[in-house]
This record gives sequence, structure tokens and C-alpha cells, in this order.
Amino acid sequence: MMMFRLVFVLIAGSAIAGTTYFSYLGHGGASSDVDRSIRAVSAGRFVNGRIK
Amino acid sequence: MSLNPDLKTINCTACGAGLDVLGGGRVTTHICAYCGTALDALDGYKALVKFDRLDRPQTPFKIGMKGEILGVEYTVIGLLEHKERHWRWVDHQVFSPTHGYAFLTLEDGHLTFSRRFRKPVAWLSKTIVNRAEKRPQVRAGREVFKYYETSASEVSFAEGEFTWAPRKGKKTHTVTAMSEAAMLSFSSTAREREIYHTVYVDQAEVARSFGLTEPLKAKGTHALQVQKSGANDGFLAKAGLACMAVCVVLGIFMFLQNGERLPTQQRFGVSQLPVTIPFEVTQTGRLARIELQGNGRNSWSFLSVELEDPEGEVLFETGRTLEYYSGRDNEGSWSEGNNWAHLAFFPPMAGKYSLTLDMEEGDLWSGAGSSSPRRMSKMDVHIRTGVSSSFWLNLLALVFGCIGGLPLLRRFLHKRARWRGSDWVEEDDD
Repeated sequence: MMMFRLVFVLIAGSAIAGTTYFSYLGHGGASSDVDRSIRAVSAGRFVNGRIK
Repeated sequence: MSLNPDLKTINCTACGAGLDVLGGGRVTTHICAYCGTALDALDGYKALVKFDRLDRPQTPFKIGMKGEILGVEYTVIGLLEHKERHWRWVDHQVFSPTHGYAFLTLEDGHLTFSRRFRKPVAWLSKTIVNRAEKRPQVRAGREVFKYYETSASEVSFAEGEFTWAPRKGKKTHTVTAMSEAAMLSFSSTAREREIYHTVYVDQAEVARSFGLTEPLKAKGTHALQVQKSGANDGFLAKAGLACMAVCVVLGIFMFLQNGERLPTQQRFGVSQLPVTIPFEVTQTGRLARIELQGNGRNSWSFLSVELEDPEGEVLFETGRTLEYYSGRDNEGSWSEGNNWAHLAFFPPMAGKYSLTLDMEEGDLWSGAGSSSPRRMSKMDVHIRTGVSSSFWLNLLALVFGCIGGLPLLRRFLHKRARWRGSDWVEEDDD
């Protein structure tokens, strides 16, 4: 039982530390449309009738 | 007759069948297993009434079986089947020379053990329940029993020895109240009332002790059933939620880390577009963010965005829409959309990058109740490097939330399943 808890704490601690470092670098924050050169043109919301 | 300790068997005075005498000195009625005649054990086993033999209940426990219940050896001395509408359950009257009489009840494959409750406790009646505005409860020592249900059952089958005289069809009204681990049953007939204390017993252990060859097949969750939880459930709940809290705090901290704003020109008139903004990136491997802010109202503008790396290669070509709408209707003022947009990327190398912005399209909107429209006339551009992100920390917080929340969810669902049979309805639930 103690072994399970020890392993859990170690894995959780490592996961938090690793994820914090990746978050510090900015991973997960990059825009999804900058890795491909496709121009997605928007005509605004009102063309689709989505304004209140 | 059963007051005579030497008496081990009798012959039924109705059919002559040999019957074992297993109960102690308080047995008053012996119902013949062969002909169903109730015999008066206090008056020479004279025949009293006759029970129907055809409707025998399904139970693996037979009269004469011995086994341990909660560490005490009991003998099954009688069988009683109760019914209430379509529900049926079997009470096994059990006897121990040292601990007296009790009931081992089999209901939907679940086993419970009931004994007379002799500690001081307030009586809970149907009238009290009917008059109560909140769920009634009684206290027995430190244990609080909350009202569970009111039932009216009748005996549909009886066989063996009893400390009272079962009568077929005789109604027993019972009000039950439940604590975390036990149930109190306040039963009353036209002539007497009594309180029984019931607990859930380890089915496998009792079945093994009584020598049952087939395991009992329990259906659903019994109101008194204790939740089967792992040894680490409590730890996982606490540790998971603590880790989730740590991730949330770190995520908020990272969300607020906006890095360093580069000293580029910040404001442009729309008439100046297209513009090319050079900027220097010194650190790679960190997120950079381009922030655009417009000043239009009830209008939209689509800006094309092109970025060239220090080698003059186009890194990406994309666009952003700045649109903001507002107005007033019968519900009050409203607004939607944003006059700002951003895009973030990882610079592949250090050096001088070139950002080119141009106005591709745009238009005004004038709907009913809208404010007067205004085209975007100027825009602010900020470029930041060394920006952090909380995305993966938020995701990890969600994972830890699931780890910590699962045992709590199971506990909640088990508790709800336990109380599902209760007939109490809160006024708010109507």
C-alpha cells in the first residue's frame, strides 16, 4: 500500500514538474493555423446571421 | 413444551410427522414443515391454524442449519416469507443458546441480520412521519437514523419455531430509519410494537459458515450495503484533488506570464496598411505572440498576416478577423465579438523576423437596435516573446481531477443507490 502511494506521489510530482516546464516554454499555446500556409478568410459573423 | 430442555423432537399433533425442537425456552409456536399446522408450544402442541404449503419461498437456508453470524453460532429454527405488493423477502428465525433469537433476512440475494433493539430510542411512527416537514430522524446513542420508508407487510409463508404466533395475512406496519451502517425498524401490529436493529452481513462468509454450496446472487445495491472501496481510495481522492489544486495554481501563474514585449512600432492607421514590422527574436524554443487590437464598432475587418523568418522564407501566412458588435434590445444592452485577436508561434531560429499585415476585407453592420457602426481606423500591434501557456497544466489538472473525483463520485453514487428505495420526498423535489 505504501509502495503504491510512493509511486503515485513520484509520478504525480514528475508529471507536474515536467508539465510546468513545458508550460513555461509555452507549449500548448501555439496557434493551430500557423503550421500550414492556408489563408482562412472570414467574412465576419453577420454574413452567417449569427449576430444577436 | 419447549421449556423442557430434554425435549429434542415431537410428533405433529395434526399429521404425526416427526419435528425437531431446536429453539429455546421462548418458543411459543411450532409450524409443521409437512402439513403447515401451527402448533401451540405452550399448550401441548395443540393445533392452532394451518398454513398453505404450496407457496414455499426460495431460500438456500434450511431449518436445522447451523453457522456463524458476526462471530456467534446460530441455528435456523424457522422460516417466514413476507410480502408487500410485489416485494418478497424471507426472514430466517435463528437461535443461539447464548445470544437468543434473531432474524437472518434474505432479500434479492442480500443477507441482513436483525435483532431486537433494547437501547433507549424515541419511537418513530407513521403519524410522526406524515406530519413531519423535514425528513424525520431519531438518535440512538451517537448514531443518527434518518427516516427511510414506511411499509405494510404480511406473512405469506411460515414454517418452524417462533417466539410469537405468525398469522397469515396479518399486517405489520413498519417505519424504518437508516444510519450509515444500520437500520432501525419500528414495527407495530394491532396489539404490540417492537424495534429491530438490522445490519448488512458478509454474504460469502455467512454462506460458507452455513455450508451453502452455491454463492448468493445479490441484485442491485442494498440500502445497508457497505461500499466496496479499495485500500487507496481515500488517498487517491485526497492526493488527486491536491495535485489538481497545484496544477490550477501553476496554470493561473503560467497564464499570467506574458513574456517580454518587443520595442516595435505599436500603432498604425488603417490607411497605412499594408505594413511590415521587423522584430528581433533572441531566444528560440519559447513561444512568441502577435497581438492585434482594433477600434471598430458594429463592423468586421479581416487582416492578412504573413511572417518571414530571418532567412527570408515565409514561415506562415494566415489571417485574423477583428469584429465587435453592440446594441440595445428589450433585454438591455448587449455586445459580442472582440476587437482583438492574437496568434502565437515558436520561432525556429534567432534573428530578424518580418511581420506583414494588410487589410483584406471588411464591412459595417447595422441591425435593429445596433449602435452606430464605425469602421476600424487604427490598430495596435504588440509582439511578445517568452510567453508561457497554461494549456497542458489545465489538462493535467483535469486528469488529476478525474483521479481524485472518481472515488468521490463512486461514494456519491453508492449513497444515492442506498437511499433510492426511500419513500421520503423533499418538498423541493415535488
